[in-house]
Amino acid sequence: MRVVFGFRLGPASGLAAGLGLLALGLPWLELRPSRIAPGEPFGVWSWQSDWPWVLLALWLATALSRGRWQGVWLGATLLLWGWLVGQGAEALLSPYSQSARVSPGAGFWLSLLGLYVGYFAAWHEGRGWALLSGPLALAVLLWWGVFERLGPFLELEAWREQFTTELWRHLSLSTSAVVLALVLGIPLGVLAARGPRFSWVLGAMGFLQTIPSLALFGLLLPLLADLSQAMRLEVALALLVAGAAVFRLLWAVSRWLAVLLALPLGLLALVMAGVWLNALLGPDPLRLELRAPLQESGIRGIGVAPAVLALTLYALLPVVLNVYTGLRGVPEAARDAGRGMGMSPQQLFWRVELPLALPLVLEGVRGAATLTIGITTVAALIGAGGLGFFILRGVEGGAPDMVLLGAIPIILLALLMDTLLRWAGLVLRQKLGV
Amino acid sequence: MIRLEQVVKRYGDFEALRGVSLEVDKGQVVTLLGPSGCGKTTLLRTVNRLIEPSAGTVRIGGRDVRELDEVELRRGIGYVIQSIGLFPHMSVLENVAVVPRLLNWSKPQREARAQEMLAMVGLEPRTYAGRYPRELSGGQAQRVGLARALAADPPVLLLDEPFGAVDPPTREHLQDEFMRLQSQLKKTVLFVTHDLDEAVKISDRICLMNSGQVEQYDAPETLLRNPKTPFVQAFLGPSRTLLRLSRVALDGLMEPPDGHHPKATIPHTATAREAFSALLAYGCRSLGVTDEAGQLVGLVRLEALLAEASEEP
Repeated sequence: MRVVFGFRLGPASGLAAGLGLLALGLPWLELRPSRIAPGEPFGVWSWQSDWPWVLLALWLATALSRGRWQGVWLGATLLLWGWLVGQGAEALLSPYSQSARVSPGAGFWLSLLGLYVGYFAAWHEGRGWALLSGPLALAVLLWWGVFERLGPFLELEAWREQFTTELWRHLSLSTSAVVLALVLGIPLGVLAARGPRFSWVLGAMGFLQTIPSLALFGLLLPLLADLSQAMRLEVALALLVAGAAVFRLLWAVSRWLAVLLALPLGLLALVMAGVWLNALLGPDPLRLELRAPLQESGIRGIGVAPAVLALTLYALLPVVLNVYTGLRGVPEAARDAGRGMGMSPQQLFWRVELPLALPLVLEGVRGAATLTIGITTVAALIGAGGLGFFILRGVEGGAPDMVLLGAIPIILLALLMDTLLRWAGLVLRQKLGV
Repeated sequence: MIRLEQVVKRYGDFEALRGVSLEVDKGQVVTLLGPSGCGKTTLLRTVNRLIEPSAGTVRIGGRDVRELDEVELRRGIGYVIQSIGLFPHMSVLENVAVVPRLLNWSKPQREARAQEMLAMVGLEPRTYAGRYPRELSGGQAQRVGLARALAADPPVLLLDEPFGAVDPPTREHLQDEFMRLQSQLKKTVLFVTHDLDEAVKISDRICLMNSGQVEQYDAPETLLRNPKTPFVQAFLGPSRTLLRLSRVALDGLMEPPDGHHPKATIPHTATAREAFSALLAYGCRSLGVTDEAGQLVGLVRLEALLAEASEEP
């Protein structure tokens, strides 16, 4: 906290204002005569001469104010910034035809970053009310429609139906992967926490994480393609049932052989469960065709099958690690007392260990969820759909606005998921008294 | 009630228990006393099968503990540990009701019993039932631990340094509470401590251990009067006579006052040790003994105390 002209300046607020002021000197918008033509940058001073000074003053006010006032100034800054953006889009586009486009530039993003940091600083100071001005100002801006002339919005208008579908697909893919990661990961975490002899579980999870996502997709494609064309659905199901029985027998004889058997069958089961869960949750219909190769039931070499498998495998590590850490964090005294009082191992687990480990498990879910939302972007590359579709199309076609159409929702989704689960974690911690 | 027959426990090459034999009668408090590492906690934990002996037998009520399912066994034994081990995510009431719940008592039964137990250990149920372990002081938490162990009314109690984690004044209170409860409930108790004063205060018999073996197993007065081995003598220390006197009441040492007016008095509830301390403080050879109303009811002479303290055969 430094003193500037008698006002206290916090480092975060100072950073926020610094970013905002820097943004004023950078181009805010890029004007392009058509979707794919290169753009000409324009700073805010080129379409307004007086209001940017007011904005500058507002940035200084946000830096030097505290508490609720900081929230007010931030809200005002957000409003004015948004209004200026709207003005700029109007002014730049008016002499051109319908095909001209205006895209956000460096100054636009830097201003947003400055606002984000500013709100973070205000929240950190403990004033929750300060945050109210943010959504309020945003709501006003949206109602005014200041962003509607910007490139990404126009893309959204053009692609609205597909956008909704791909958004839905993105969410269903991520959700399916996270659900499967939990179903698989929680037992694995419990196993890992049993003792030091199971540390290989964590090592295996870490290894999975190091495989680059594209490489993993690439590896799975030919394998799944062959399998899905050759094997019939009923055969696959029978194989899994038989495999489960053999596994039980083999476990008593040789653990290593059992695991070796379980691995490919487990992966197959995972793929099938993932594809069908995704079909249940997502826009595409669920198809189950007996007496036909797997690919008729939606399991193919490309598309949802390899995508959901890879996503689940990536989401495993945060879940397993957090379940493990959560269980290890249970106070040893509580365990000893529980055992000594006559709790069976199951009772000890369900009544003592799991409730106490739950906050960390939720952290694992949060990590897995935000991670998965991000990686699902790559799923579009192998035909599984999702918001990555727009990013890829935009990159291929040289249309940066389309890239933004894909990228911005993904970022917002991840942030939203993170915030929701973080809050849920806090509530849970309070209820459990830990 | 509890019988340990030649119990041995080996960890690799190290012998934590080297053939310990012990018998605890019903309704008695037996303390396992000794320095760190002597095996007292290990021995305690063989009784509820948290530790399985390498050799030897543990019997409760005549039955070998290995015959019973270990989980069933433990539900019939109260267990209190030094670190208490209250469950942080459960309220005080839920903590106390854990064993009744394991025994499938109905909810009203459990809650009523838990409240009864809290009152018994001196915690007002209305105030404490809804609190959580993090809101309790050390002494309060330890009382809850005790209440929890007593909730299902087990005939046997195992206590592993239960009062070790609190400050001395609280510890004294807890010891007094425990003795009060024991006089009411008459449980069979195995108590582990390394504190000689504590052991002398609360036990019916003391089992002094060293390096996995029993050095001496006697009532406190006998132990303090007749240490059998050099280790016992050293462990009891040079003040053992005074310690022994702390268990002697004044009734047997008093004479009628006979018109004497002694310089100083002490209440009749005092111990011989306190009388001795008072005699030293006042520098006199006799003390008056008063009743609750402050009336002189007897006289204690230095000679009587010395006779009591003497170890001459």
